[in-house]
Amino acid sequence: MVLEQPSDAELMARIREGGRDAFADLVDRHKDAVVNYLTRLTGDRDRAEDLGQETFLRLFRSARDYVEQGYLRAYLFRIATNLVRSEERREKRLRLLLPFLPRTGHQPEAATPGLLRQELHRQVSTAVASLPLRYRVPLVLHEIEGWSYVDIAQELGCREGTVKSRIHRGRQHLKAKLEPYWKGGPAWKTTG
Amino acid sequence: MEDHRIGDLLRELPRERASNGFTARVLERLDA
Repeated sequence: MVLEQPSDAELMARIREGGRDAFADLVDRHKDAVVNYLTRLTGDRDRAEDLGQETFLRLFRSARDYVEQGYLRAYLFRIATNLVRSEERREKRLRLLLPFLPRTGHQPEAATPGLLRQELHRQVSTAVASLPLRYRVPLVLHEIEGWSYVDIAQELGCREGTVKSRIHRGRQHLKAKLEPYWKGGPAWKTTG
Repeated sequence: MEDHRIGDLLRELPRERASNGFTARVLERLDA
């Protein structure tokens, strides 16, 4: 006998009543998607993990205000995006205040011949994470998460044409950033 | 580089998964 899993809406209803088990079930259900999304936005796996945890904590704390719209994952991605936006603004202010503060973040390691694919992934991931957030979010939602233009427009509160334009601009930025690896880099075209 | 190649590169990125103990850590932070 297969037990039917409660829907997200059912779990959220129980969470609104303070149900921790329901909350744990909801985290288990969406944690991989949230961590993957945040990894693509930040380019930093550890930071994504931390922000992912914060995303779920915010969901729990705002559960009473949550209005059921039928797609909880979009709501989680919205919280995650806002966390990244806030953090980047904070970092930007800090850099303005302390111009000589060394920049934190992932330091590239030397690629070895046997790790070309991983190195390419790292370059792409770093390039994505360096895009302005207004291009990064729709690009990741469309190309990686598979969202339609219409759904992204609805989520971001803008027109479909704006979404297409931002994705196009995002691709152009990525092309410019990745072109050196494509043209003259060491065997970047080799896959395997 | 063509537009579709950019899309291919993005989709080739491996799907990341939450670490073991992720849910337990969220619950710990909830209690903190």
